[in-house]
Amino acid sequence: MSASYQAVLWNRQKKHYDWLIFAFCTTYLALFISVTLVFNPQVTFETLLIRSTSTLALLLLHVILSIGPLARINRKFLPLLYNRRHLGVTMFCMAAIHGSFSILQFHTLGNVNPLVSLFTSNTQFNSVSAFPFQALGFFALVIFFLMAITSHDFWLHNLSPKVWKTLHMFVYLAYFLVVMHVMLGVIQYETNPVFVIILFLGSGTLITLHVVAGFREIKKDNIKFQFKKEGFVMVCDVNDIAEDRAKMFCLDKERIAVYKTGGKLFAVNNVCKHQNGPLGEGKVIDGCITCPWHGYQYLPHNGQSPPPFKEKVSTYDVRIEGTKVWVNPTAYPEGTERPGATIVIKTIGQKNILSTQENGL
Amino acid sequence: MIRPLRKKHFQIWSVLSVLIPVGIITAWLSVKQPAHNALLQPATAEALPNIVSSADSKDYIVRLRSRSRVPEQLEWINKTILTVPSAVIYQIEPGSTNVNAADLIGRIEAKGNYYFPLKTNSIYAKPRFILYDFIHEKIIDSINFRP
Repeated sequence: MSASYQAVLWNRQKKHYDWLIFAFCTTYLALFISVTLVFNPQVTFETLLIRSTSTLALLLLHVILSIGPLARINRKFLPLLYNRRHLGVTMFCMAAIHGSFSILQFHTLGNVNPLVSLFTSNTQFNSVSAFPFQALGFFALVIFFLMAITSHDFWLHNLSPKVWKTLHMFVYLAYFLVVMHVMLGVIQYETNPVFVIILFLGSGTLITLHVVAGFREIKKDNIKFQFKKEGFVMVCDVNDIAEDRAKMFCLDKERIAVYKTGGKLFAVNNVCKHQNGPLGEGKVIDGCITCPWHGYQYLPHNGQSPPPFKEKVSTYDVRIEGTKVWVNPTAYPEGTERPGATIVIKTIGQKNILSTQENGL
Repeated sequence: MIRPLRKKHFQIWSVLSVLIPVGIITAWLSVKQPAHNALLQPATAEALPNIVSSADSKDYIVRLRSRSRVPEQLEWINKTILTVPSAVIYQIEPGSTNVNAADLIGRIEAKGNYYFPLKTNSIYAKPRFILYDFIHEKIIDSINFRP
């Protein structure tokens, strides 16, 4: 959110998150190594490291890739999205240890450069069972490396969100490479079907989550709003929006988030300037719309980040007729102040009747 | 997430939902079955029912087995992997150390159970065996049974 480079700011939540990751990884590695030593006491240190770090990296990769769709399906998972990058860097570290020790164990004993040996020791590209699976793992590791080193916001600002996001979407290619690395590697030698079943279940869960979340998003984007008047589109009832929360509507090319806060409604572009996070899934904290992904903030009435930050999003006109909310999908330039629509509650007898008439024009 | 990105995500996972299962199933079906060669791998001998004598050490258990009272089979149970790859078992006359005059019983290598037939006409009153490293030409251990 800052205009210049800053080191990672370790707030309380980030520290908790990272300690949790550290505790989980340590426990997993300790358990894996202990169980392996009980059942296979002859195993070498290198083999233990290769196997424990590879399984941990694979498990973390599945967790990382499931956080996105889970957060879209259910808001309760949104806290997991915060600092997902830390989990990603941890996964890369595990994968890097696995890769390094594998090269050390299998490619450093000859008279050929280990990296050359990696690509020349097996060239059976026309065979499925004897396919050079290590190369697949290597390419996946290169993608994870590029993602890990560009994970800081410094690179996000310098590469632009579009380029950065495109680069980080290569994680899906990396995931496919990892699945095939496992299937054409260890699965060809391990006869126990449990390993295949676990991988199949993991991949199946990920695919299901992403496809279900994708369908839901497409459904939201394709909702047709029938009532239109004077450039405004009727989107919902005032009571449909909870206080300090928003509802999102796809009225044109992009979604608009309509926030209810302080007795008013405000409409802003739904896309956060940081990583294109969904502002409409966030909430108002300290008077600012707060992105659920990484906490970037914007003032509801003008779409500007509070000083000294410089991010801005577009604003829209919103008005209320009766209890119905109307939004004009024509965007104002980013950071343009709009008055919003005031919610007026009239008291008739002992009942509070919502009767709103103000608009943002 | 912007709309084109949401669309791209959905497209990518639609493709992966086909590619990943196809990849997993293809790779699983390609797993090679272990080769079976009946000529090179003779059937493992069965242990005879009666234990005539037994000797136990840190690394192995050695038993003489039989259908009756006369030892007919040597059972050798390796508790751990042998650190000497060239270990063979000889049956040797009591008091002798001359391997050249001994009967070769068999070779042992990995952890596991081994069964060797014994010549019933060459059983001595006190059967004696030696474990011999034929590369370094030295006796590793000697096993004596009580008669």
